[in-house]
Amino acid sequence: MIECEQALAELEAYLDGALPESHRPILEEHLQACAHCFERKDFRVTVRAVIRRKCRPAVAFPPGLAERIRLVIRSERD
Amino acid sequence: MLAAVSDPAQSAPAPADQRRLEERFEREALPLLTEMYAGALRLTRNPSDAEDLLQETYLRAYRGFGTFREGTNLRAWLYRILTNAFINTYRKRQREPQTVSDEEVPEWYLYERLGGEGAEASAEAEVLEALPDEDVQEALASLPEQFRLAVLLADVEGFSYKEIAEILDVPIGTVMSRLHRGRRALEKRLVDVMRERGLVR
Repeated sequence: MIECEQALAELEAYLDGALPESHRPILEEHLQACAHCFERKDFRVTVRAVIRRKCRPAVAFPPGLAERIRLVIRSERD
Repeated sequence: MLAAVSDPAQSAPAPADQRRLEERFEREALPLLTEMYAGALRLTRNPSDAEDLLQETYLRAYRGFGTFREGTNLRAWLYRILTNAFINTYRKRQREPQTVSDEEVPEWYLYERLGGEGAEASAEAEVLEALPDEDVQEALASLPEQFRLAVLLADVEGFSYKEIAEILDVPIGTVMSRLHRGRRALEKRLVDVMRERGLVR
């Protein structure tokens, strides 16, 4: 089994979906067996979700903007 | 096909191809307007700048649509244009120094401040949730620009390392390093705000 140090070093890439396929099951096995790392993994997941949600408030699309952009493109075309 | 490109007489697409390209632009790029506007707003943080930026982006995208390879990621391609237009227009205005301050933040700084090992996960989440949205947005906005862009593209817009590397035109290793440092710097700022609000000691 890998050590915590290695597991935590790979955690970020894992959560970013960028850990090589061959490393994934090894890290997952460690996370299942190690509460120390599992808690940290959970924490990172929570932080990411909160940041994402709070930085993506509902946005009102400005009325008329789509039409303005269509006009700019049309004038470029002609 | 390649030979045709080097021949100036052939460099403009034939009218039929041109029409096909325009139709594809209407069908594929225009439906992303709403989503791209939201992205432009997160980038500029100002509705009027976001409108200008979106218009500029779509004009550039329309002009360059012939270079977009069908079947590849259109959203990432549009973000590349959006981000470049943003950097060229708005960053010039601000004349930010390009160097990034080296703020070493411990890997688990935020985690430790919120109680660390053994603390209830729900309690940690609760404190984070208690932060007003505007505070989190401000904290992200306050990061050095290179860090802000990396975190924004990855954690808010949801792009992969590879896509961000293409959008910012930097190597993947650079993306990973900016993202790592940017996330830690953001966490440091979140702790600062939580302190100000009395949410943590």
